[in-house]
Amino acid sequence: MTERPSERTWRPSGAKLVPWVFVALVVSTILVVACSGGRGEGVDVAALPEDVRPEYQLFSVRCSKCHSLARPLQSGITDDAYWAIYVERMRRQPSSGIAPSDVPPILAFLHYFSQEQLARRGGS
Amino acid sequence: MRRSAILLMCVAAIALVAAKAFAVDRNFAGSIQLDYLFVPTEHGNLNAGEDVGTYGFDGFTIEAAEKLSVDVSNHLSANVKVCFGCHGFELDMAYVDYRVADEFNLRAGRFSPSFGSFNLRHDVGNYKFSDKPLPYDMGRMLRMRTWNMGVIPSPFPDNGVEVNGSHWFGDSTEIDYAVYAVMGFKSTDTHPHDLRFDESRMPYYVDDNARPTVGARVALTQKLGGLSDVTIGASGMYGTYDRNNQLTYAILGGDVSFRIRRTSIRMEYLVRRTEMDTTDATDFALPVASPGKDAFTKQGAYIEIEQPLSASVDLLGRVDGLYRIGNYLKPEDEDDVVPLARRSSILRYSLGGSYAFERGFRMKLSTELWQFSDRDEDGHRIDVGVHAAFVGTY
Repeated sequence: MTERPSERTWRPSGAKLVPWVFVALVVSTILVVACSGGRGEGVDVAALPEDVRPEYQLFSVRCSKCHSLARPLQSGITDDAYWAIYVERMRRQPSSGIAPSDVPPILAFLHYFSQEQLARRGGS
Repeated sequence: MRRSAILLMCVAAIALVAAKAFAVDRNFAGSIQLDYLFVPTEHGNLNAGEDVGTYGFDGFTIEAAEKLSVDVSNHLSANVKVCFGCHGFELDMAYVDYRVADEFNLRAGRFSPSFGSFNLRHDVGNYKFSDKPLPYDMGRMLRMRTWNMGVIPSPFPDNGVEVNGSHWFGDSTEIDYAVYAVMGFKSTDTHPHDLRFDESRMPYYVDDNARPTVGARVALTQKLGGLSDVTIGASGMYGTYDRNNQLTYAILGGDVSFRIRRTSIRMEYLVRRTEMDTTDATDFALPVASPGKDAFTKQGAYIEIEQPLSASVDLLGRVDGLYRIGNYLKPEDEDDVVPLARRSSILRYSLGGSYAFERGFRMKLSTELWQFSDRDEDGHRIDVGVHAAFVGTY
């Protein structure tokens, strides 16, 4: 029977603080970056027209349940017909939470977003 | 190399076919995560030893995935996904969906059968911690070999068929379901004592026995308001895993997820009962209770919260754990210590954050406090892990 090492062999004095030092590091890092701004993965709400904001709010909640908002916003889709198929496919995902009545406002925001993207590309 | 080349050729071939098909929509997506795990409470290199990765995998790991979705018609679609991780390339998805209605979709090919709520988010771009909850771990946990990972790895791609669908009752209640038959988990050992997850990802994608594993899932989603909902789900899976169809495994799971505006709170509980061949009682560390066949159970659970602090920062918290009851294999060398007992547990407390530099590029940072019920050969019952990762999605 092998004698097991004692607690003392791996836990020098002060070592109990190690986990909390790392927790403190992570928390402080998060707070620092949280205060530093950043572009985020969604859309700057302040830059949206007033009438599009409720539609974006619905889109941002419904379409980030299973994945980040970068997925749809980076997809490169700008065609309304493509969006309709895309959103239908997502609506049918299990437990998507996207009701049939959610589809029109989500598509309305994506139409706005696509037009903005096209305008930006045309202007660049 | 040969396996990787074949998988890449398959993807390229499907992409070419898709380009020629009268597809309504083709969508290509991918993700890459580089994660660094540091375990400062362990001496030396966790990856060293006779069996690489005996204790865990500290250092850099990469997970990458490329996915192609094709809507061939209003009823027919196909998905192919190849991922790259610790063991090289793996065919994560290669299936067709034939949808008759929202309530009836036939899926055939290679896919992860519907089990639990995490599986839908198993891609590194879809969860904000660097690693998966312990019940779904597939190699990033400490003492992974001793515990043979979690309850069920995620993803767990398998060959088979699934019928699934969903139905909305008005605009506030959604019910979805899935039933499936797949090859199931395997073990080609002479005296199997647990599922061999490595055999599920081996390139020889053929069942080791003739009997499929069957399973089902049902979930209810209820809107709690315009921007909030709750999902309650239950899942089950049953099959045999040995060549002779003598040893069974059964996995049950329950999950509850709250979505309150951008805040997510998720809870899952899984339990697996696995029969093991005890013909050779000398393999086991404890006296064999029932000669020929015995069983152990492994339970796993997690609760986690994702709270956006700003447009670019999310605060993450998670408590997860595993609990194992039953006999276990004794070490080949009598001097070695197996940090298991008839009842063993792991508890892990994680705190982290996710920072989006810009759309599609995130940093993940987290720290973990591990508490084990059993000491390892260095006397450890507590460890600390630190993860730092970058993830890109496109």
